[in-house]
Amino acid sequence: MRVKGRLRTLATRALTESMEVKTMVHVARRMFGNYDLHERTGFPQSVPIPNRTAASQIIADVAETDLFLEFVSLLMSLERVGMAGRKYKIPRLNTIVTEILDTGYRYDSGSGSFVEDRAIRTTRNWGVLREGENYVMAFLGVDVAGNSELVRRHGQGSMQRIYQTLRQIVTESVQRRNGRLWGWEGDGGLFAFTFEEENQRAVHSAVEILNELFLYNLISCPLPEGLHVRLTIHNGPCEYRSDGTELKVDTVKRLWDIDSKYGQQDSLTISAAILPSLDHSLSSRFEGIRTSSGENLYAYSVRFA
Amino acid sequence: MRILLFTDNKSCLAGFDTLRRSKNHSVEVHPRGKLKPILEDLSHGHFIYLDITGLSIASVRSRLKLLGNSASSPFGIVDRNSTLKDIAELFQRGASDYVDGRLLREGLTTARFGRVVEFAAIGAPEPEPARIPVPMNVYPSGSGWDEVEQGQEYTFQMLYVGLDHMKEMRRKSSEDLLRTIRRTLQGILSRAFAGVDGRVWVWKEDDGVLLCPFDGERVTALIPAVRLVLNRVLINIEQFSVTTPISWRMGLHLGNTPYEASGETSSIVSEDLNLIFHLGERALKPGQLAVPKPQSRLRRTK
Repeated sequence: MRVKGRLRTLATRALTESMEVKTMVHVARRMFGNYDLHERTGFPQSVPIPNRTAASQIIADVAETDLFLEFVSLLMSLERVGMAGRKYKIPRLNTIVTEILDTGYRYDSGSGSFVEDRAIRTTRNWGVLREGENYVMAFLGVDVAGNSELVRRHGQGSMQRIYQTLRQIVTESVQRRNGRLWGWEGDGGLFAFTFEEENQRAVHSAVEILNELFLYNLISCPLPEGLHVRLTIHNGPCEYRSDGTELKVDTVKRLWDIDSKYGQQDSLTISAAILPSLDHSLSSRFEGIRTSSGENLYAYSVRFA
Repeated sequence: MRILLFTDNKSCLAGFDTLRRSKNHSVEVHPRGKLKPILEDLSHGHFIYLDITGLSIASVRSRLKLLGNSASSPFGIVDRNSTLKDIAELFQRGASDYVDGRLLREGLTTARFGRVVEFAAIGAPEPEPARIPVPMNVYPSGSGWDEVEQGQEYTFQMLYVGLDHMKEMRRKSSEDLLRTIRRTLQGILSRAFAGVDGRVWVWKEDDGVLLCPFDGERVTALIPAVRLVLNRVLINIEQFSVTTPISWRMGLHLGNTPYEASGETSSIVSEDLNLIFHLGERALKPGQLAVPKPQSRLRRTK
């Protein structure tokens, strides 16, 4: 996020007026780990740094390292929860938050961080994931069953149009639950979810997708045999890379492994770690799958009763 | 139907004169070389004729393969010089018609083409006339609300929606919670039927009727209603913030009623409105979506 001059000034004033330099350094160390304010400002160790200069330097540093949103989240936490047993009143914090919201972010109270407002903007990293950092994520894989046979039978052109519709159905459902498309290759793709309740949101999206495809096959799919997909959800750590190389991390590899070995058409397959996070009314609709490795996997499907 | 004729000889077109003049069909002529690119972009509802006159059998087979691989359109073959020896092979490879020189000179009739379309099994999905139990007198309200006037009688799609198990809910829950549940359900209904111009019209305490305009043919409210049934578990988790599962029943009906704005409906006298409330309160089971029998057939709309 590019931090405009007015927002920097507001944040500098807020910091100046809310705490002394020593506390500011503690706060800065929460962001950076090690932080030497004297070195950053160029003041000799023996010379005290004025409040305003210290605040200005810290704000400049968090803005330049793209940590401004995290820093404002931390200030909010200092006001609500406090630090070392003391709560801090941060003047102008409401104005700062309002300005951030106006630039297309919303505050996610569950994760305690700002994320982009998808009504205004939708980017691959929610506007906040940082290059090279590890996040716990849930991934939803979408794979068309029997793609090669479908293309052979109906032609590339026809199938491309149908896959476009599939992509639209899936993306709408995923984005409604703040998931992101991380990769789409012709007949399927990978969608990512993070922040709070990522497993639940991924599963809810997948269930809705299966329901929508059930209706699509019933009323408007031009293929006589219908369009059938396999959906898979697996979660785990993922190091974010803006160039897309994170699609090769172990968590994603494992997802496609589950899909190829145990995925069934018109079904959602989830790994064991996902099931306990679901509401009982939904988890009770999943059935266990026998696996050769003894790993616990569960499947949900839509069928005519 | 849109007929695409791929030929390099315009004289071929004379055989299609009757079809060209028919108000139900149109004939477009394209060079044979354009077959592949046009086929790639073709949507449904077309019939293709390919003139193979002068082509080698190998060329004919490669084009048949191309046509056979396309799911979008059925096809027939025009063979002006009647050179093909194994005509059955055409049908084995997916063709639905064979027109030789004699037939072409006589001209293709619409009746014959009708049979071809039927044979290709694409004529069948042409929308059947709506077989919906409609009231004795139908006053279609149109496809939207623009022409609906207060005080006038119209035929609407009426969807009864009632919350289930309310006796028990009332015993266990506060009035505040019940109000929230009713309001949440109405919000869900408004969003679910927004795409088909549905409006929550009459709402009593725990049940009500949603109106969708009726154009005299299409029952547009059916799919959103089915979607509400399919997504009931998700809706409960994501939209109702209560631990007890919320269930609702629905009944769809085509009926006549004088139209008044929502909130001004107390003086309306409508047999159909009474009927749907009666059915909803007495006949529907919890969680059920009921529709009159012919209406319940989900027709493919391609």
